[in-house]
Amino acid sequence: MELNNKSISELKKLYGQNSVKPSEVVQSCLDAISNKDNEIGAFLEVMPEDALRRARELEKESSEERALFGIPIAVKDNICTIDRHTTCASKILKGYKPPYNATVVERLLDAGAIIIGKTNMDEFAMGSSTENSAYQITRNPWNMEFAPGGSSGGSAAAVAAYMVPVALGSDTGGSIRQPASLCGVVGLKGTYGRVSRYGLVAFASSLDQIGPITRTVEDSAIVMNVISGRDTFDATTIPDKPGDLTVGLGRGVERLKIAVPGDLERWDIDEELKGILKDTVAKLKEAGANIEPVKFPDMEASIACYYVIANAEASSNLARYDGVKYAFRAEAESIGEMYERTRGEGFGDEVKRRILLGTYVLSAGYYDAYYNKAQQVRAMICSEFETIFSTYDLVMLPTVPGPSFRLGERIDNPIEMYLSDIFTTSANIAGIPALSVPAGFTRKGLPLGIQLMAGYTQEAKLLQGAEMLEKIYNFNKG
Amino acid sequence: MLSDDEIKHIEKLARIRLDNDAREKFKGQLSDIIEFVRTLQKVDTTGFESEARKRSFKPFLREGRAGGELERDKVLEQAPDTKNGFFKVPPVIDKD
Repeated sequence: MELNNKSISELKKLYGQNSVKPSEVVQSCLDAISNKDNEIGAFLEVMPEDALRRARELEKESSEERALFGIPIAVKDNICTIDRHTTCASKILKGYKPPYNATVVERLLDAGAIIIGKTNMDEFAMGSSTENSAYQITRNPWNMEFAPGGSSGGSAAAVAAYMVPVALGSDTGGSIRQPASLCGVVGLKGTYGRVSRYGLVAFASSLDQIGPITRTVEDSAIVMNVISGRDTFDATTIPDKPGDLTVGLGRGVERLKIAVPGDLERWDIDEELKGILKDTVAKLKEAGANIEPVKFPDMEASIACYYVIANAEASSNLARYDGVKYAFRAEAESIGEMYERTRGEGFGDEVKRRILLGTYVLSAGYYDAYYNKAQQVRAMICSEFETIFSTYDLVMLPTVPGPSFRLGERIDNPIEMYLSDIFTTSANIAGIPALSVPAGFTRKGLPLGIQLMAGYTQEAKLLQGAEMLEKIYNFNKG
Repeated sequence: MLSDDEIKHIEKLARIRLDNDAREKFKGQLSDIIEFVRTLQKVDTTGFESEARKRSFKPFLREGRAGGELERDKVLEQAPDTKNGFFKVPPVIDKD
């Protein structure tokens, strides 16, 4: 029995029947990691002793009650794990071990989950290929020459390669959904405020959300149930109880109103993906959904708005890496020189570019033209989504315009790399939930993804629609 | 295109020192990105001029009581240099 291949819901069943033990499941995942990860490079750190010790502790209790009892999970390296490395794949945080756990980590542990390791990412979650990691590249499990996407590329690759059933990622402009799409797994970003950001190393505080990457839609709902909800350490968390997100599963899509952006032909979308989208529309109609084209918020404006706001916030958030409080410091004679050299040597190129851009758009003389204008565009996009979701339950569109790209192909062209986020950033701008499900493969065997978005706090509906897509594409062969 | 002086000014504001090669490379790339985000200025945002970002919920605040504090030694362990329970840094004021 290859336990590392099992989904969370399958493992829960096995635990319920007392036919496996947490230590066997953990060992199976650890074996998969040692067999595959030398080549893939999904993990920055694996914690075999911690994981096995905790598994044996869990064996002393019953599996009832705890939603993630004995479930191994990988955590993106920008999520704080107490006394265990949390580097954000940056040289500036090399060796840093936070003195506390992120709220999501506490919730996972309370639910009986077992943390098995920390996953690779673009440095400080800035990037779309995981090539911006200061430590290693991660390869796409479907084709080792190709990128896993990013920034949560390690998490997506670990799940796609059956090294773990679930990994946490973070999504500021598509960093969960884009790698999920490129690796053929399910990636969910909840409503802004759905999941606490306490202990998530901040990139852009008004956009960041933690979410699960899984192989099935049901697993996504199960994990989201555990990690979501109000947190006194994050004043932006939504106060209302999220409710059980598995309730919509199995309901089908009858009478659901689904909008598809009317101007998708403007974008250079992969032909096979266009075919899949058309096919999906037909099948959803057969299943009773009502599908119509709508005017979607201007995606080009949305991505420009995103790069102004995200980088402005990043330039402020990353001011804390000054050589005083954490990990890396460059030697210097004066404090000013220490700041400049620590940051000049400690940050990688993409992080520097973004801090510089963020500094520029916030600087005197440019603030109104860029930052203020971007906030107005943001308000407009929010209002356009409100209008769409006053009529429709879901919006359906590609997650990314095409399949993965070769490692190294886009690394020297920041704008081309930014454009792989063209369909994902608007959900962060508006704070609405969105997810990517695997929709099939190109002839060359690379995964393609379809994205759903829902109105504010409507994750249950989002997962309901996603489960229907899962059935249509039959990716969860179990 | 950003001038040398402009990029040096931004470096100064961001407290990031670039070497000459990086500065040359970044100048072009940043100019392209700025050109790209400048498309925002063409967007008609009439009606949203004074609008701060909308939120359909209010942030909630906890009671103003201390809680969840971190241990000083544990926090300081992560710093590059400390002395007597404080962060230690190079001189802030010039010697002369």
